[in-house]
Amino acid sequence: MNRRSFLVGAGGVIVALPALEAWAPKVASAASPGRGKFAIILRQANGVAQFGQDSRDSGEKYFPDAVGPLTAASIPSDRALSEIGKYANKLLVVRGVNFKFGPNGCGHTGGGNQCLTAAQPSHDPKGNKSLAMGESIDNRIARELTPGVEPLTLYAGRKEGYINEVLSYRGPKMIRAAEGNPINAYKRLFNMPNTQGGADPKEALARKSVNDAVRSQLKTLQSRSDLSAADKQRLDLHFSSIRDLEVAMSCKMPSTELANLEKVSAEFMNGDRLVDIAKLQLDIAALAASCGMMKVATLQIGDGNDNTVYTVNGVRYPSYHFVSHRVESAGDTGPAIPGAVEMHHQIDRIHLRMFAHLLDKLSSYPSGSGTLLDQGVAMLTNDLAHGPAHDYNNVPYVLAGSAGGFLKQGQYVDAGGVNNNKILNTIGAALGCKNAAGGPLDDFGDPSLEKGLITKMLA
Amino acid sequence: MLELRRSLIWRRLSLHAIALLALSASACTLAEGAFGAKRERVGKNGRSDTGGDSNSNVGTGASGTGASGGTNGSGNGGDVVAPVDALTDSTRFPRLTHTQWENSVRDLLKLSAVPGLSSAFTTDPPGSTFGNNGELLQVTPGLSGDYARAASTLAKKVAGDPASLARLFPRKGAGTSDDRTRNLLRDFGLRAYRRPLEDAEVDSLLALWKNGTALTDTTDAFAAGAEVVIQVALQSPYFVYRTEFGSPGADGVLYLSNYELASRLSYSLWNTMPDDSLMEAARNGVLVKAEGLLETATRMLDDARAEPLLREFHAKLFHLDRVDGLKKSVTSFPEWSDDLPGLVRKESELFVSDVVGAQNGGLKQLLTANYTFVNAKLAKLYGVTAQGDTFTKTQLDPSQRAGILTRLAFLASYSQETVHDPIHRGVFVNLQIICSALPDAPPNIPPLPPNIPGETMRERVTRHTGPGTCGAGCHGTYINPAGFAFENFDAIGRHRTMEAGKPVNAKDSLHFDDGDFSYDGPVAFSKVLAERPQVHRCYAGNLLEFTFGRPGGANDRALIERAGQASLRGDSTKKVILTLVTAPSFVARPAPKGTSI
Repeated sequence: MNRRSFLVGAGGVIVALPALEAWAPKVASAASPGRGKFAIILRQANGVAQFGQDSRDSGEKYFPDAVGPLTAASIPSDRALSEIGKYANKLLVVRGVNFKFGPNGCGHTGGGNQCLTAAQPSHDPKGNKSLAMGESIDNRIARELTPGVEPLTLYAGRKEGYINEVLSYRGPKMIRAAEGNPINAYKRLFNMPNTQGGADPKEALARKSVNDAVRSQLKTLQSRSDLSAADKQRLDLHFSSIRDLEVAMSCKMPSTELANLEKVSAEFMNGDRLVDIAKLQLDIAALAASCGMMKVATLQIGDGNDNTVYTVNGVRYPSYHFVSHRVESAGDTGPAIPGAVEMHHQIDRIHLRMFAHLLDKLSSYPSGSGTLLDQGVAMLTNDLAHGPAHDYNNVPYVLAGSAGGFLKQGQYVDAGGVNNNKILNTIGAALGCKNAAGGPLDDFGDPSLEKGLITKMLA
Repeated sequence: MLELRRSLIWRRLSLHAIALLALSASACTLAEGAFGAKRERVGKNGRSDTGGDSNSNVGTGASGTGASGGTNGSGNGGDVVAPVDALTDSTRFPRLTHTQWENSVRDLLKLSAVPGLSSAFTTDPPGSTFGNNGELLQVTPGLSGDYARAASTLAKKVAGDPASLARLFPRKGAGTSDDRTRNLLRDFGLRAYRRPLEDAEVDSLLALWKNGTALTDTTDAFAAGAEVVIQVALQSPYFVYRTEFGSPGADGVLYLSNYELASRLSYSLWNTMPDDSLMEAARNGVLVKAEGLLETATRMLDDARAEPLLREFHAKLFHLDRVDGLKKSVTSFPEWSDDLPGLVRKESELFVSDVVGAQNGGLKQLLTANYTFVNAKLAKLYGVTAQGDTFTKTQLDPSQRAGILTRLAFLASYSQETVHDPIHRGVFVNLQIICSALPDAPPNIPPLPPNIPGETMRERVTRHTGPGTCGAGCHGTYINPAGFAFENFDAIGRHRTMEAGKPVNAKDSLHFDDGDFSYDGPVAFSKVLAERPQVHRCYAGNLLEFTFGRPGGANDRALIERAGQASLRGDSTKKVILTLVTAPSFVARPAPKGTSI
């Protein structure tokens, strides 16, 4: 049982009363995230169909034509990003970001190693087994901002064993397992012993009555005129903590969604259901963010060299990995796949529609004068840049949400060929991470990399 | 007018009580004063971290002229012009520590044992020497959830067990009239909130009680009402905080109320909520009177409930938790076994408890007594004889052992697996015993150089950190001389006279604030420590931090000095604590800013 599940347990989901000796809940000590800034990061594999020097690439099919303000109209309809055109005023599309380090025998693992870590791929192990030599940004965010609360690490698709999880690292060579079954992720996150029960309505009512009584007492104390600033802050924290707890305890999927979650999850290993599984995972991440139960989540779509077979307009494509190589193989040689670039483009669109699903979901939760999307940041990225080259230059970063006004909105910017540690610094800083001197995080990743944020991204 | 009278009564009685405390002192009579606080951190030895004048915050009393600090005064218990303590402000809402929460829940709900739920609570932030700094303890979102779940669990448990429920809310006669329920709630509320409830508060709880069956699955209305009320009580800010507002006297100073003092005393000395007798004393207005406070605190310290807290204080002060699970090289020390850490810790706890409890001793005895408690296994390490597993009080060789710093716990835990560690032994003595203001260690400290065959550890450490090296400033002057005093003890604490084929050299000299003192060996060094004012001030400062639940501030200097002097004179630990908890800064807070007197 983890910290998040304990919060919900307090609402009475766990109704059985163990014996006195077993009263102590087995939970990890942790700080509660609370509802605040958050990040949800999606990772696509195999690069995107964007303009490149390689003859196997074609014209630009991903990014808009020019940097500058973004509107739905400024994103041509033949670009994959047009899939999220309706969110143009909340987007921050970044080009000009590279991975610094070359792979150690496998472009996929080398990219996956660096994607969220900006760390070097290991020499031992190497090849498709190489690992990152540093922690990932989701780990850093959780470790620093909500110590004891694990980042939410999700997965959609099959794991074929060649390269499985690539994203989340606790530290050098310490990769974190990702949960591929949405119902398991949901149960673990919300501590549901089963999905049919839910909180006892009476107990929920009692909780509200008790909280009202405690809040009334706190208000009496808060109204005193002789409190120091520190004591005011102390009582305010206590007061808001009760509110946060109520929000967390009210967290559950509507019963219809929950039924669908159970049904679809039964096929979580079926590659043909990848999109459905990914959407459910994103629903869970958005729900957790809305309840303030986590600070950061990642969703890895497909394994290291994603071999998912997509069907578009009734046409069953070859393995996505083969499509990215433009040939019927996992390498550079083999029979050409006719229309591979367009296929890759369509697969990019599928990923962007998954991203759009997340943005829809986040936008459905009101928050302050806006929505949950304004409060956090969602990002779709890749562990390669271009499909056929499997390279690390101009890795796509598509962000939405300003993280509470920290990030620019409605802009397409060119970072100018910086290393990806700077974009990870920017995201970490947006959520509140600090460097050793107490300033905004600017030194994440391999120590050899130039420090700093991408100032063009800052609001 | 009432406030003026209260203030004056306190002052007069306080003088008398403090004079009683000081009967054994030669010339240390103290009076209470009340002055604006200046928040400034002060070293535990009572010396300002900022190097300011130790009298700078001692000012003029409300009723006349204050003295200039120090310990002058006639000690006649009457209307003397005496030195005064400036007061220190701190939070009005010190939150219960998790241990205090456990103890309070046990006592409030009349359980036979602590519930044990707090082991899973959100961990409190670091930064508190004794884990009880009220400034750092807050109700975070995580802890709010912890409290909620625990309250729900406990309320169900109690309400669902007729015997437990009857202990807490006795059903007398038939009927559950509102008046009867009100009385039950007043009794329970008095204990839960540690003060009498206002009528409106009783009404609020009564409304919840009467709605119990709608809010719980319990069909019995009485039990359902109790279940809801227990849930509220356990999450109430009046339960989880020790609210300390005080009320202003004529001088503007905020004097804690009888009930606030009952709580403060109880948590400071028993680590739990006040018992019935304390509440009765509060109800009778005993605690705001100096004699009453002194007599009550004396009784409490002599009660068995004070023993765990005294044990906890010394365990934390002497870092006894370092012993837990201590490993040693089986090659170098085949005598060491997995059960020894537990035995070694128990030995130290028995020793400390005996000194400060049964013997009613103090720091001098802790630093010099040459007895301990051993079983057969420990006796071998001490070179004495004992039979079986039972711990028996045993005299140690007075030429080898004197006090807690010559016991296995310190010596073995401040050693490495194969060799002893004079550097960290020295750091411990400087920080925990002397309260030296050692600066933080610089980054990237190189390890000790490899051992040269035939070289003693002292020679090796000196080669690395002694005169002529970059570490000479701290190590050569403060750390090494303290650590080298224990060269007679190996990495598991056995006494020896030879190391690496050479006679052990445990001779050195250390600077204290009253001069340089030389010694040859651990016994002599412990005796030097036991006679140093700086050491006793350090002990007093730690006791203040522990009993007050906050670090000493600049305004506590005079009190720390006074308590340190008492300890130096030979006062027992309990008596030093009495000096602290009957001091003005324990019972009052400075006048709020802007208050004109």
